[in-house]
Amino acid sequence: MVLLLRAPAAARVNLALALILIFALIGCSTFSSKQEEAIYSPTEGVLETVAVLRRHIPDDTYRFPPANDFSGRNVYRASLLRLESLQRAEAEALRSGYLDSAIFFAKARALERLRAFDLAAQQYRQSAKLSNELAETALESAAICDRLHLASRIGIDLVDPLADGGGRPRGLDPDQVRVDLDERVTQLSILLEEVRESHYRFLVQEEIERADQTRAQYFVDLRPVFQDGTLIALQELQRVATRHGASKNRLRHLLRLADFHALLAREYLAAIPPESLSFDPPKFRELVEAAIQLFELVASHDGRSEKLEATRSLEAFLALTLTVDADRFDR
Amino acid sequence: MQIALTARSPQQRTRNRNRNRAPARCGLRTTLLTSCAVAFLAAGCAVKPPTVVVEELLEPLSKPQVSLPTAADLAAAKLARIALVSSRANANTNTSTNAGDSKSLAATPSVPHAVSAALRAVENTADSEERKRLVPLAIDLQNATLDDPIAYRDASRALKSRGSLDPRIKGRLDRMIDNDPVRLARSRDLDGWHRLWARTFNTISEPLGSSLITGFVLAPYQLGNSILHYLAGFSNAEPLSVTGRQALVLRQEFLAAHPETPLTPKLERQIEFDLVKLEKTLAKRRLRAAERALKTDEPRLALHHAEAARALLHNHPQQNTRLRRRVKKREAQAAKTVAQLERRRALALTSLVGPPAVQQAERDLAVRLLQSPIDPVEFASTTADYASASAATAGEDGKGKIEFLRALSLHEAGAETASRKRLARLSESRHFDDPMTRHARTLEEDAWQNPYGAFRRLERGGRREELSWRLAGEWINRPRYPNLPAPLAYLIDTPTIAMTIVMAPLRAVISPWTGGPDFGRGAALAGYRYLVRYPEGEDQKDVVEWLYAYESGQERWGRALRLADLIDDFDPDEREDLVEKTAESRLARVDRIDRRDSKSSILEGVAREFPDSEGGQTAGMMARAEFQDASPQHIRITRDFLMENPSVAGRNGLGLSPKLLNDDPADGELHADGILLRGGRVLEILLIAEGGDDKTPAEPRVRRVSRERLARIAAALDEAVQRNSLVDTGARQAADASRDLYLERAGLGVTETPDLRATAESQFVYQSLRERYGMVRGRDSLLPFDLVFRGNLGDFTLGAFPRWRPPRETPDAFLYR
Repeated sequence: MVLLLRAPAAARVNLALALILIFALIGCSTFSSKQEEAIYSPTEGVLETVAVLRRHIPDDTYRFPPANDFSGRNVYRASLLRLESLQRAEAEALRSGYLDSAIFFAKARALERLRAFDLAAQQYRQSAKLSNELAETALESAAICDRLHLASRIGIDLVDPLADGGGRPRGLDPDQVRVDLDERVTQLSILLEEVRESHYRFLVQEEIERADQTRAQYFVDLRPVFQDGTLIALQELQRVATRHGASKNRLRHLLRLADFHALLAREYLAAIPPESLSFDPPKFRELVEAAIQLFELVASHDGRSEKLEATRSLEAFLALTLTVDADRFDR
Repeated sequence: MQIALTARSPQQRTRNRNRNRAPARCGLRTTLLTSCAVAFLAAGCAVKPPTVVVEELLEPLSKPQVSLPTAADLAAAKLARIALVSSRANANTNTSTNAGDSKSLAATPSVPHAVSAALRAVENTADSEERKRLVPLAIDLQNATLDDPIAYRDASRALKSRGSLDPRIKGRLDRMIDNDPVRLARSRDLDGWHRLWARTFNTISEPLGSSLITGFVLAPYQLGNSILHYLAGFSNAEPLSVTGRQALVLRQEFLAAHPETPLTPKLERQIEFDLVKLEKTLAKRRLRAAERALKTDEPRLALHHAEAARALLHNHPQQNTRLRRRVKKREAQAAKTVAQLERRRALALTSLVGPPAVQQAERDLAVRLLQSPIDPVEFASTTADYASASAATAGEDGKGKIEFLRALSLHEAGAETASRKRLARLSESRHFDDPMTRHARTLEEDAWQNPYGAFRRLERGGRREELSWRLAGEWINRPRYPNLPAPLAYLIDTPTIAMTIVMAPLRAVISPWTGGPDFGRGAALAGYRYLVRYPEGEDQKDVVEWLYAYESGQERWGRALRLADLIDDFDPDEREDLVEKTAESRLARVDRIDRRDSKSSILEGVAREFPDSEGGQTAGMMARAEFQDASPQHIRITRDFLMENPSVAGRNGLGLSPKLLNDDPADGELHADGILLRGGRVLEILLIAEGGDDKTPAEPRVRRVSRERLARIAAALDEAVQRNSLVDTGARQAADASRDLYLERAGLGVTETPDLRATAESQFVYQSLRERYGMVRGRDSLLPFDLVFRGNLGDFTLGAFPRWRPPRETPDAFLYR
């Protein structure tokens, strides 16, 4: 300040301008930081969470990816976590139970989108007990969730490869697996007809897709055990890709098919090295061309993460073919 | 060869004989007659007799000649037997006494004694011709028993120094000698220096040559500019270049194979030195990736790259200290940003209860929301309690929720545009502390939730980008020297950027022919998303029309046709035109496909989808032709190839009648397309049709040949191709797995059951050198530089200068990037 007062007029103006500029920059930075903090501030009141959740209840999550909230999380999971956080952090304020029915109902809506149908049914029933307004819808939804839960337990399911003890051993009766999963799909198809006008249609379609995926995965995993196992596995993977061409996972199904062809090509190279006399170039070419076509098909879809996967997988697969002599495989 | 040289037809010979018999009686008559004779002769020469088709196409095969092996043959066979079972274990350290090979064997002291003795026997028994042919091969075989690549290379070098070697063995020895990792590593190092020299030379020569027309007036400016770019270009160079990395790997491989040679200490020093540079190269790449990720708000990715960079520098803690400091700084910065992000994301999951005064109203509204959809008409009554309660306590804060719910009610009632506008207003409001603003912004910006918004945003962005690109070309994307600070990089390129902007109108004029990037791709993707997400959307018409214009502009007729079907009252004539174009574009794809099953599938698809169009009918005809022409193989040998390689056409190969290659149409002639191997034991001989020529369609004749003949064809083809490729690298044929497999089976006589798989089919064509390269084959200039004449419309310069050619990259260079 003293410097400013002693300096000549022009210098004083310059110094003052510089100071204003510095303060403006600091101010902008603080404003931007505050704005950033405000975006990630806690949710205020149950209405905010319910409004956002409500906006996404009718979403067709079978055909389109589920929405994300402002923090980049799945909107159903984020809503569930926020409601649970509210219950925990504001237990005192909520002790009277005035919000319980709404919270239970909203949690159920979120849980059913996360495939926790049994928990969702429980939450619906609790909500129905507490609120006459929500009872009818809650009980209807609970019944549907029960049916979804029961259907999803018919037959085998996809296995957690990291489960303690390696998970339940797979049965070696493919006919039984088919019968069970067909039964599951039948139950779900009946339900689909009943709920065609509600958002449950998308949940049921997702469950049917999962049943088909489970069936394909079973035959992929056990293909060395069965006669023509590889052929059956290939057919099953193709069946999933064909039946669920409208699904949000259609590129994932195609990628799975491409990966399977690439895996077969790798296994073929390992079993019958290209330099060996038994190597059959046309057979290898068939596998390679099928894998390349599928990878390229997926890689041509803009705006999807599968595009990156397919592009990199294609590069890796083409690098594998570099190890094969040119007179055994045309690059 | 005789077949190829028989060029005069019997008719011509008859005419010549008649002319010789013509009497010469008196001057005028003689002159007249002579003139007539000359005229007739000229006419006779000019008009060839019409071609006829003959049925005698193949000759009997030659009988295999039986000959007794000579003493030299027996000695060579003995050498082969001994060489096959010899090994280092039974090597004789004193070795050969052969004076002629003393040089080669001095360097190869471990040749087994039995092998040396067998070699001497070959030399002693061979006559002078056989000696010339057999002895180098025998010496090479002896060298192969050394079981040491270094010794074998030395011995091969010594063998090559003998004069008058067969080009085939010489070519093989050359490849063997060149395949020395240490030598190759040195070559790669030299390539690096060579490239630097080429850059330096061109930096001086190009500006000097370009300023010729201005009398060197512009030379100082152009030279200065060129040197500036030369220096800036070093910022793009990496500590260890691609050629340096190639040299490093070659040295490492050599050391792994030969750990104890006199070269070992030197190689170890070089490898250690290059390893430090390699670490620096890779760490720098990671560091730049981390910096880019930080700029694009991807702190986790930045942290990953920074950690990887640190791990890369771990092996040599005393080296690359400056780079290490930079890496640490970025790592700390990324870690801090990640921690901040984690904290904020955790905070975002917490919830608070609203003010007591609005709690009941909030609860009632929440229950109402969860119960059933809110109709926009009853919206006011539904939210009235909450609005009044929140206005009394929360003030402005409650307005966001009301706005959000109003947008929600409109959305559920199908008023998509109104809902979107309301959300947009909320997201753009200055009340950043209103919690609903963040949700509105997320919905507004999410390309899946708001595809129409994304469509409009990307369309505007695309237009802006296109305008910038038209004005400043590629400069809008990045400067030429991205590793320099951006202002400096743009400053260096200022003259070029200015020139680009000045030339923008000219580029705009020629842009229809030069093309450009697709700026509408992102918008089109969002548009298609909108169409599937909101099939009843209010903006469907706009989007469909935009997409139709875009796809038509990109000449994607199939997509344009599908979009045209979504447009009401679309002109039927235009639609018909689109159908034709779609069918044509799909037919054009067929030419690029070599698998017959894929071809048939596409053709059948086009014929079925567009049965009333011309393209559809063409596709149907093509599908039928494909079906009729289908065979397990389509390997073709052209007539020129057969002329160039008489051994293939002769009685030891195809056994083709010489008349078919004598250029005399009167006794039948092979078509230029030659012969087709159809698979199994079927040959299709393509003849010139009656009265036709090479340009008219061929007259095919199908012959089922004997197993022996097919085996001989395979052997003759293989022999000719191998021999040609050893003598001339340009004569090498491209690899074709299916062709080789078929010929291998033909050689073994196991083609009885044709392989019908589409992937087993080969469509390889054996062509002569002239067919492949034209009259004159392009060769590399002997001069190390090209003479370039260049004019530039931008600065109106015209000049000529020598441009030094940098060394070519080796085919495996891509593995070192």
